[in-house]
Amino acid sequence: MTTQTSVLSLKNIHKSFGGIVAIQDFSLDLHAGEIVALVGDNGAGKSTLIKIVSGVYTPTSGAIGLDGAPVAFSDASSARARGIEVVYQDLALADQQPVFMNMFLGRELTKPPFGLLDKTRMRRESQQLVDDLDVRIPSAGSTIRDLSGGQRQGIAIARATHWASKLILLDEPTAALGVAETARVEELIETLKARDLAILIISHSLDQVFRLSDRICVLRRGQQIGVRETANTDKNEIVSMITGVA
Amino acid sequence: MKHFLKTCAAAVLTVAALPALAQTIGPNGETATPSSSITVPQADVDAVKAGNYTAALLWHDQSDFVNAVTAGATDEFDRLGIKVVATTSAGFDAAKQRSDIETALTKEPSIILSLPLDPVTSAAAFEEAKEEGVKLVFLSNLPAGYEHPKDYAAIVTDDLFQMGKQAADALAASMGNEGTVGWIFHDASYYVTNQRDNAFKTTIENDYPNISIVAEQGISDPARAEEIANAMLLRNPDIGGIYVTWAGPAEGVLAALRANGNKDTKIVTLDLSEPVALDMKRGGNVAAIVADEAYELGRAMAAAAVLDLLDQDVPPFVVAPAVTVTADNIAEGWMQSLHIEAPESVR
Amino acid sequence: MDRMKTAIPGLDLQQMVIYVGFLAIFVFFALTLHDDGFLTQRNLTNIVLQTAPVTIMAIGLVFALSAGEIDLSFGSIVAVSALSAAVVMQSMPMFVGIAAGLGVGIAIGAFNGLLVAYLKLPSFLVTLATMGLFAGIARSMTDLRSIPVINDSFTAIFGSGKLFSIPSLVIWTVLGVALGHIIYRHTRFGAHVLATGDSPRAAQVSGIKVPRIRLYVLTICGGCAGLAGLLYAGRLQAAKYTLGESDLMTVIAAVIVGGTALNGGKGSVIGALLGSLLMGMLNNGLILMNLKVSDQMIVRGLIILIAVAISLRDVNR
Repeated sequence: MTTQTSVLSLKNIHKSFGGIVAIQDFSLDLHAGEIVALVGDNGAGKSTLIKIVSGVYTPTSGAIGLDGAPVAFSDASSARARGIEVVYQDLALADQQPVFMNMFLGRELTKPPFGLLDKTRMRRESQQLVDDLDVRIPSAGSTIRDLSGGQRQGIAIARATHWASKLILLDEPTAALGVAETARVEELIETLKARDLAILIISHSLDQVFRLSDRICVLRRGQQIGVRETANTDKNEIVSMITGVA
Repeated sequence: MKHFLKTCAAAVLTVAALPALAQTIGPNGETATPSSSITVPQADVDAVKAGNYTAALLWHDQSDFVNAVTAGATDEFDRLGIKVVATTSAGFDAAKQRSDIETALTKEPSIILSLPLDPVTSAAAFEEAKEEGVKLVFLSNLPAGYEHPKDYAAIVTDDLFQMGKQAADALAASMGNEGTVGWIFHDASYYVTNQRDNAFKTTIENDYPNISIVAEQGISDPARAEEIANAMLLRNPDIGGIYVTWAGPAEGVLAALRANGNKDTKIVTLDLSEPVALDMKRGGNVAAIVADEAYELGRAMAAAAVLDLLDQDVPPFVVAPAVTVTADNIAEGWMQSLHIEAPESVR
Repeated sequence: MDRMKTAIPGLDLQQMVIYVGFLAIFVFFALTLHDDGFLTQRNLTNIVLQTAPVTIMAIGLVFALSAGEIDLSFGSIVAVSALSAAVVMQSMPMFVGIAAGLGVGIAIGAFNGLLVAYLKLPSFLVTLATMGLFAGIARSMTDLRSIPVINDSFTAIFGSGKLFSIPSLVIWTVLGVALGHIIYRHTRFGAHVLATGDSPRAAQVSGIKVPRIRLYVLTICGGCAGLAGLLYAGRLQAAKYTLGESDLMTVIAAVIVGGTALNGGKGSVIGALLGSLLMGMLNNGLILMNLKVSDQMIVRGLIILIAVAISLRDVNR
């Protein structure tokens, strides 16, 4: 689709836990402004793959490249430091804290001379961000637990957007949402493409995958079955790749 | 009884090694004055009433003992037209006692009656009250460094020697003044228990030549009383009587005797307790309980404070008498000691 | 206080309770006890002096509870710290005694914290055990004896002294609350404490070292208890094994009434101060009302029950 250097490149990734092989020979290149969907049944290895990319697991063998340079993540922080953000299925939000503190959780802004929190700036930047992304919440000072599921998802995605310079991993972003909220979140994900980020999304909803993604990568029992351009495939092909039933 | 155990824990006086004297002595070696001699003459009542005095009662804890002392003091204050303006309980917390004193001083009482939790922590706590000239009467304990009559009016306490002596007399009487006894004493350095226990021993040794103490056993944890009694009975199966330092462990000793089917060994103990009194009423092992006259203690505290207000000399160390309670006078004994009706079961 | 500005009204009912309740009870006592000296400067100052150690302990507990931990052992730490300082000062200069008292508190707090953070033991059980352990140690340290503190500088700094005619215990209270509030509300550490108690997972995936936060909050609790021990020793000019023993319930009640959640993620240092003053004001006012001791306990218990019930009302919504 594009000829530029891939943002993320995975080459021959293997991961096994003891004797159990979780991921076998997985290779994928992700480009800026591209959404790739990762599909497969439960236990296919999707979560393991997300954890490898986000630095939680180290692959048993294989190479990870960022912008063409090889990298090795020691933990989630080091992946984050390289511009990779994850939106977890459970959102990983602190429910009783305000939106702006969640936005900056673990990376709070401080101001001189005493290094105290710069709440004004965090609030302002958070407000700016949710306005830009059109995440409709009462204010950046709202408490998370007073927000709807869709709004929370929006906050989690906005947070990832704020910090990601290269790649966002989305794990089941709409699993817990109703129809209208799902549509809102999908719109939001679409707008991220314009920010030149690469996006890897896990979803169980093939409809959603076909609506959002540029390419679809299918996993089955830890094996990479194939990658298809969304425009050049259909649901039947993807389903048969997922299930192994032709 | 519980109140007694706690009073012991509170009464940490530094009089460690007490000589075997034949009377109760004060924390600084003061000689005792009987409480009966501390009275406010009728002639002075009107003068006292005219003074519009007030009093605060700042106790260490709550118990039937404290209630009886409070009743004795309040009745005496009522008679003299003195208003009690605050009553507190520190729950054995030295810091709370200090706060209670400060709070009570807000009401500017003329008199404070109190049991100082211990000499060391109470010295600073009562400082403010002392400096403001409040008449202080202490129960059992004295703040360290306080001098009579400059700093306080009097200390009032039980006649500890008399309690031990009356226990010895009652036990001896129930044994026909002969036989063997066991002595279960409180194994800790506490002024109150030590004096009572030693008074029992001294009395038996000096006054009853035909009674010998064949077993001595210290106790610090009342819960272990039963095992201690069992061991004592094993070695001395024919023991005629046992003195137990207070009613809590006496219940354990009673349990040991019952378990052994022993109906002959007599028990004497100190402080009123319903289970112990019940055994006595049913003709069991318990021969007598010696109790302090807590109500009289309270009355004497109030009277001592008022005498000091009247600028009369008050003796530094006042003791309230003890009452020997046997099966014949349980109801009267209860009333005399605690100023309440005896429990239904023992009346 | 940021959250009071949020667009959703009534959001911080729990944290409002203490302000309204404090004011209501103050006004009630002021009206009913104005002839009994309640409003005199001396009495109001007394309340602050009397609650200073409880306030300091409450600040520590706000941090622990906010991080989702609890400390039941601080009462025992108070006694051990006070006794350590008193014993040391019998033969050594004041500053060694202060260092001993604070150091012992911090060390015991860190001991609790290490067991909780790195052996992954629940703080409730760890501190329940260390509460008994250190209560025993406090008893055995001096064989139940009270130790007098005769160092005049010490008793001035931690007890009865004044600076510019402000009592030192008032200064300690103000300093403690101000410092506690700033750390709690306006530092990254404070934000991480709240996040850890709110959602340990969110905190952890955000790069917050959750075990380290747990270690720190329990250490802070120990340090606060150590300081409270010094304040008691200064105030009573003596140390005793019973110091702090009966404060556990008072401190927990002060903190909860002050709007700190029992299960983490939310709290207020200012609220804890007001909670502590409320407890002191109740003790004070009920004595001045000349209630019987048992009635004082009943009324105080009922008021605390009502306040706690309102404070915790919508935790599970």
